[in-house]
Amino acid sequence: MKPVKKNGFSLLELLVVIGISSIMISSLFYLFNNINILTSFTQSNSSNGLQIAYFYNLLKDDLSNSIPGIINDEQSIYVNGKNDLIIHRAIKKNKNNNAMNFIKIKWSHLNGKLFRSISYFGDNSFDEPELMFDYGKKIFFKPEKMSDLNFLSRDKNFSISIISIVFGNPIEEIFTFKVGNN
Amino acid sequence: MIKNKLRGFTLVEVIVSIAYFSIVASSIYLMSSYLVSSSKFITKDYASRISYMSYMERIKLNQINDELSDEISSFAGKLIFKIENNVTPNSSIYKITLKPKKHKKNKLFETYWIP
Repeated sequence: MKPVKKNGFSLLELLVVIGISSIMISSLFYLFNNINILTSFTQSNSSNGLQIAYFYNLLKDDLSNSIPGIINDEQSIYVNGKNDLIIHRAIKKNKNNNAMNFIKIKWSHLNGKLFRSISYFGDNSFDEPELMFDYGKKIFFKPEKMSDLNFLSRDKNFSISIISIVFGNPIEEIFTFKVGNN
Repeated sequence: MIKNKLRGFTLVEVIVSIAYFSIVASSIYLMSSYLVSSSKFITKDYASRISYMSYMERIKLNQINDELSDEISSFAGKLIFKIENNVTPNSSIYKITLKPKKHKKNKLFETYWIP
């Protein structure tokens, strides 16, 4: 009698294959889980850096394009009780011509968050504040130097020429800006 | 006597596969660690750059000595540096150079100051 040849796997072979595959799958899951942690870490790190770069350059741009003197019966640049920084600045109407428009910018902070809002010329109200930087700790504005604008008027008229924004208490960081064209 | 034919892997095959997987795993690990360290470096480098520029704006408010060493805390951590104040060909204008301690030697920050 000719023995029947079986083509299937033995129990031992199947157990070994299942064991190896389960080890491989669990190691892959472990690797992907680590990659997710890595991605979220990199994302938060980069977004924090981008936020700092964005708000720093925006504030620098506002102060660089500010207009010295008195505008609409108020100082062009002033700090309102360490909480709000008001800047009157010039802005291009559109990209194609050099016509300028005046806008009023308010940089304010609340609960460690830095906001920026815009008021257009002739309108006393500000737009919805835009969150610029979520620091989470104390932030305040510190005028560093006041300069006399006697080249603009005969009266004594002092305006901020150097201003700092201070982060943290004790201080963790200070960004200092020169007002006017840098 | 009929020899029992075993159809397993040879020692060479096992060694090659282990070597291959260890190379792949270590390259994935290296790639990810480079990604993290490069993003950290870019953030810290930019943060330290704007901290140095801010410091140079503040230092102009006071009388600057010829040379001074200072340290400040910033978003990039503690920054240690040296400041040099040199006269330019125009005697009323000074050139302030900031030399960070931990940066490369050729990485300097410069500004001009009129007292």
